[in-house]
Amino acid sequence: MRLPACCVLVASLALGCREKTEADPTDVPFVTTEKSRQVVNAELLARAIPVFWMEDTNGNQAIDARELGRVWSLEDGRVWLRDGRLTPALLAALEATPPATEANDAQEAARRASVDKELAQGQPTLVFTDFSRAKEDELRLLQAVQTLARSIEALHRAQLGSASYEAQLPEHGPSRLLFARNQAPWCMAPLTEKDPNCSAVPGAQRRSGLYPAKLQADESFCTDLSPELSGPFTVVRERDGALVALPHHEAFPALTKKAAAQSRAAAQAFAVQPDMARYLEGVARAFETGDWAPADELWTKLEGPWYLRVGPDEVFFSPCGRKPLYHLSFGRMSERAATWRRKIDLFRQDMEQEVARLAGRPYRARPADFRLPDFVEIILNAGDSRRPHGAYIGQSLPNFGPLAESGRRRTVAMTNLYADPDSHAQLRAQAESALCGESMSGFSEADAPRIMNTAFHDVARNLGPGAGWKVRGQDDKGLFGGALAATLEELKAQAVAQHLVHRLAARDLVDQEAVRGMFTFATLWALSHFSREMYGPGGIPRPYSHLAAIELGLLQREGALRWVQEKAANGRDEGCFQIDFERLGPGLEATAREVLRIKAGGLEKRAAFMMKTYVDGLDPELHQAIGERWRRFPRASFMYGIRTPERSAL
Amino acid sequence: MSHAKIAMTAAVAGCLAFALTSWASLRSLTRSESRLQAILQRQSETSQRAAFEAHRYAREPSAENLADLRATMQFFSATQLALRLGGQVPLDRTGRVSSRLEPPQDARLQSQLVEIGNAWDRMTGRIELLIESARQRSTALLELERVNPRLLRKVSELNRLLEAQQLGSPATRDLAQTEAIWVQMSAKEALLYDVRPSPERRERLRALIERFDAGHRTLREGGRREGTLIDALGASYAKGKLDEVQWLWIDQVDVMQRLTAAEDGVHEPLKAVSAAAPEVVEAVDASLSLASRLEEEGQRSSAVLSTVASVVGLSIMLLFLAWAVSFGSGMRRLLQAAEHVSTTREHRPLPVIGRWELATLSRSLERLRVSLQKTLELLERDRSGPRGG
Repeated sequence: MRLPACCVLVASLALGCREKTEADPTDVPFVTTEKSRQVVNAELLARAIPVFWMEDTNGNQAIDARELGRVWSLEDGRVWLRDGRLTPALLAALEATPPATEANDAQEAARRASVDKELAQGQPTLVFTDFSRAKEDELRLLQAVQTLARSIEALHRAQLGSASYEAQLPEHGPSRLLFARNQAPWCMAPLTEKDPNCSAVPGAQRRSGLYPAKLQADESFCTDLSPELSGPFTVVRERDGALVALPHHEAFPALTKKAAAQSRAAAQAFAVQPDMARYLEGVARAFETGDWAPADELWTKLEGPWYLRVGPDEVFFSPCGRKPLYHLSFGRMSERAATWRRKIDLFRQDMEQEVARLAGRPYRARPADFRLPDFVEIILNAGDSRRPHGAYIGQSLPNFGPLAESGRRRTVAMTNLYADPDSHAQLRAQAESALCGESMSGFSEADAPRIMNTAFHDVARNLGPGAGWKVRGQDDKGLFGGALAATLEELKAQAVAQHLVHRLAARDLVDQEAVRGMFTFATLWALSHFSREMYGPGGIPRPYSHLAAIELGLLQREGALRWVQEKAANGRDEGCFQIDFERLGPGLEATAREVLRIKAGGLEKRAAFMMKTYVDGLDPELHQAIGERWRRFPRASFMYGIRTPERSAL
Repeated sequence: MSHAKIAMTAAVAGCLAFALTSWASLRSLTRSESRLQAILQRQSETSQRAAFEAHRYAREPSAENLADLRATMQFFSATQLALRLGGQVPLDRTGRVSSRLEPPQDARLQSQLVEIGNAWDRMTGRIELLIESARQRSTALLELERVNPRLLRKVSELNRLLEAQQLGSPATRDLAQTEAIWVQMSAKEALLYDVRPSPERRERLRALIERFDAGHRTLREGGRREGTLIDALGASYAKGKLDEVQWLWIDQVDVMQRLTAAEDGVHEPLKAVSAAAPEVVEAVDASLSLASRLEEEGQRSSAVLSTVASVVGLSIMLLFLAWAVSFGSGMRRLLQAAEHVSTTREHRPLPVIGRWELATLSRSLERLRVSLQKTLELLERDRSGPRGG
């Protein structure tokens, strides 16, 4: 139903009627607008207003208070909604158009244009959780976690080397938004990451806080790092002309001390869940000592309704891929996805047998006594988990220490990311630009294929030759090098996951529609990583892009995927992928076998050949075509929103 | 027309104009209250319609029913907002026809309208929950239709395997066959719960799930059942098949639990909507009676104003008549005097009659008479003296 276009009228009347009644009629439950949801959000974000219109749930082309969420990373303490209604301040903000600020000179104009271009490559997406009916103890722990999250973000900025730039931010809304999103002044989207003009702070130098700036001037410094300087939980500093590795509590004493205190405060807030309280106490000690193994041990044993992970974990976005970055992930266990745990539990040894069969000698099946994945609905990601684009949808942690070496990692799969309407619509548009018409039959907007892909990917990380597996006395990092080892591990997980699901479908345990859905989703996931440059700034390899290129190459070799010169499903793009669902089963098995054999046998030459063929030797036309199509769609830029009863509308 | 008639006509016209003006202004005072009442009356009906459509959607969660419900909810909300803040009030659900309404001036009425908004927000919150649950219920029904036949096939495969391989005792094979009955009965119970939920039915479903779980565990691990020994099949060829049955049973239980939860999820908000709808109606009725009271007060004020207006109007009319009568009489005397001067040679001074224009006219006529008299006297002198020539 279309309503009279009374946005301005309502807003102005609302403002005009102030203080006429005790009930404050200036707050309104909704306001109609002529602008699209995307435009409204873009305009609010451009002024760093922490309000996000999530969805026009009731289709009334009006902004209803219950359709709005607050953006955690932009919070400014102002009241934009009150008692389930929009305040006059928000009405005024919605009515106004962001002012265009003039640049002082051509260089500043170029910088601003680049900043706008960077921001345009991200699709703001809110991961929203409603705590408005939460109990008192839940609210206390929520508050404690949010406070700790802010400290983690500060530590993360120190690692990134961006902390000092925050005070230098110009009075320019988009620049501030870029810094809030990227947690650094520099740009990270494909079209702007190498643009020298692109920065939230004019003249900011892209230098990591993990290594001395002088050292980073040499692009090949990673290869020359000694093992003493490569420890995961250290920072390299120059002392008396020599390089030394300092633990975090020595390199960032104030920040780690603060984080430790806040971890202890959070432990008290989690009194309702004693094992979580013990874990947080362990985290506090880890901040003070730099020894994360005891906290990890406690973490892998956590049970209960809440999920919380704090510490330095992933190395994907760290220079040299050796030193993990700080993050905090907070969520709730997904009851909905818990059935997957029970089902996978039935077949995990069977799955290990199958993986061992494909890997061949010298690998032999081990007891599959790893902990099954936890399915988590994320509430808040902070630090390295709050990526400028995308998010970690599954993790097997810890990545370092005795637990990782003995393969006793805990796997988590995030079930509520990319489940929003914007992500669904975008995925369909991307699928239609890359797949041929008949191959779209496998596409589904349902969440099940995505959850299944994530769940099995994370199970597969624990199967077969993975962490702790050694050949000729060397682990995978020693055999293949850090970056290629990471690529092969993720490639193994992805290829094995799809093969296992296909096998379950052959036993009629998963319906064919779901298998097609999962494979189609996995193909689109691979294409999204394939669309990017294979190497980042400074020639740093991108493990996910590499694994995508290899997986797509292997599946094409096996005939399960074919690039044909036909119109894509959208009827516009020339050239598309055809999925041969009949050849999918053998194709997936062959792909899984290939990578498992490389890992099981430590076949460096075969791995190098695969890299040479599918990564360095990829078809440039195909790469360009997919890159061009994916760049049309901004990548999800996740923000996190929590509604609390204090401000019941948000 | 005589002068008297002209004067009388003017007086009546003046009074009529005055009465019309008074009526129009009084009407304009009461009209906005009447429109408000009409809109409030319709709000009451709209809220009841929304409750009805919510019930309908809960039973038939089709896109059309949802669109109807959304349109009704939106119609109410848009009207509610315009009532509170003024502006365009949609007159139908399409919003194509609308009318302008001024915001109420009375603070009590404004507060009461806010109360309607609060009651409506509570009701729509429950409707949103209901919509979500109805959607989940619909999905669960579809999934149950898919998983149940697959599970039955798998149980059948298990039974065929046990039969073909002669695995387990006859009692074991009987137990395996019973699984098919539990699978079907539990699905049927879930569907019946969906149609008519009751605690008894939920209990029966729970008991069936437990029986299957216990039976399947016994098949896997062995044990006694009703005094009969059941062989453990967990280490036999049948293990894989047992796991497959278990896998799909987990799926079916999950779907059945989601279906019953969704049914509860529909049922509870449905009851809540039924409870919330009267709150909205009560709030609207309270506003309606307040608006009526305000209108009555307005009417009482208008009665006083009418009386005042009538008295004033009558007085004006009487004054006008008195003036008209006095004007007519003065004119008559002046005319008679002028007539006397024109028909006789007797030059009596004309009296100055009345005030203002009439007096001026009398004086003018008198000056004319004096001037005429002087002219006549000069003519008389010329006629009696020597002539030239």
